[in-house]
Amino acid sequence: MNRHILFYGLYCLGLLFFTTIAIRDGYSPFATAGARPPMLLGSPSGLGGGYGGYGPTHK
Amino acid sequence: MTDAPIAPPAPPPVPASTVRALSCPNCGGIVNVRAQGLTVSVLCEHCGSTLDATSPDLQVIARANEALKTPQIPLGTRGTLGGRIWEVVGYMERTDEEIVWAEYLLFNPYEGYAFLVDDGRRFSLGIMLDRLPQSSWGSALLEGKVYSRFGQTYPVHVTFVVGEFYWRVAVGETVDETDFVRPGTMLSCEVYQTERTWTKLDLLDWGVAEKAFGIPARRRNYLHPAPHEPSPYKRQLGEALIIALAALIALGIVSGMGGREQQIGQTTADVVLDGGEKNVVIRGLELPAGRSRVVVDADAGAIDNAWVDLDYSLTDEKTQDSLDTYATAEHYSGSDSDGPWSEGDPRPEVSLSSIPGGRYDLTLTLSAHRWNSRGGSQVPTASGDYSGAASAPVGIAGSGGWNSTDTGGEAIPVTVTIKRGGVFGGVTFLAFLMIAAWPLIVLFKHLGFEKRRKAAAGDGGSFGNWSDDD
Repeated sequence: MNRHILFYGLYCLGLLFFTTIAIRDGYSPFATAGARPPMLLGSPSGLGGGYGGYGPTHK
Repeated sequence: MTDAPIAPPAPPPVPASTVRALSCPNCGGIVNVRAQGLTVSVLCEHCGSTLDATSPDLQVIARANEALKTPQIPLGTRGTLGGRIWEVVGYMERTDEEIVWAEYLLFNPYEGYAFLVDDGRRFSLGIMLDRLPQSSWGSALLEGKVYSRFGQTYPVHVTFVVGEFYWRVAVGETVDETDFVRPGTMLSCEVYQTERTWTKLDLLDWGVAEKAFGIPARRRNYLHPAPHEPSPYKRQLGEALIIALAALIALGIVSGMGGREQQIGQTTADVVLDGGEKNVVIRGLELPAGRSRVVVDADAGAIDNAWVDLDYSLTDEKTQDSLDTYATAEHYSGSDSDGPWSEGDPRPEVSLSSIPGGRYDLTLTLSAHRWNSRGGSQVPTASGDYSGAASAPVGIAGSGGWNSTDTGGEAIPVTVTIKRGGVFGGVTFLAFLMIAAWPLIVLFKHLGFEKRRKAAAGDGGSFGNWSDDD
């Protein structure tokens, strides 16, 4: 077993360790929270930039 | 049976010197003939003339017409390969018009001749076969092993030669060569006039030949692999896959330990379309010690061509720390020239990460709005203020397409459910990607190596990639 595999094994162990902690604490780097941003007046939806208005994107 | 210790095999005897020193009739330099009785031609190290070793006075066969080069392994150097002592007696360079490689002729009085082929990166030890490989569907079969044909038959020319040889080799000698490979070994078939010879070349490990013949070790690189060079990444890939599999199983177990979501609160509120905001508070949400994932599900499944703004504020009863977030339940549908369409999610879910344990209140602020396709992108308030939706007057249809008159008073039930626990799929997926990254990298390196190795076959076939340009 060469050095690459040793490092990879340690890497996986570390990754599993942190994943275990994240799962135990219900943590996600993707979950965001915050107050609703102000609505841009008259801006159509589907233009990106977040909270830009409402309505279907269907044209 | 006796318990007498088995004596280790005796090392092969060092052949006694049988060098015969003669004088070159062309330049007068000393010419050593190391394999007397076997050598047919000798190439003078000093002037490059080809001499007839079968004549007692070394008659000149051909005079040199190019500058002499010095082989990296000097003639006369002895080295041990595979437990046998070999002496370098000849050196030649050959080309297939695209690349150049070097071949050292090795001699051992007990073993005969062998070739040390140098492609500029690695060495292969070649032994001439005394039996013919069998042909099998375009491949060669030798000792039960199949060797795949590598490229087409190609001409090989001698471009430089020095030392002594068992045949009358000369610059310009051309043979037609066909290669058959399996990882680590190559069968090379050379056809010269009516003569056909097969040589088996075993790729030597990095540094073996250099150590044996006392030349500097070469740096490993895999940019231009030899046709019979096994991929150095194949074993790494296998080992990485085993570890990745074990890690993924462990990841599955860890994810399973995260448990399922548990409902800790629920409420249903009726919110009037284009009516005012409605506030609802759910009290006494208990989160266990430590930290938890909290999920707020909203279900406004009854809406169509409308949306509901949902603002959440989760407040710790003890510290009054609050966390604000929001969601939008929406659903739109219609019909156009392409047929009916619909979009939007009337059941949005908001996940909160790592909420500390304690007792919480969740304040909901709901407001519902109808979308009208005549002007749905405009703001549904007379004042133009989003928060003013609560006080938007009924009957502004003519002011921008927000028609409240025909739906005024229509209430939409919105059910909000609060759950704790469970696992963020994103965390598991991210961990999966991070585990799979290294095997994927090794896989691509392996595929790249194989692609480069086979590229030589596409060029018409060649032994190696040795070139000063590399």
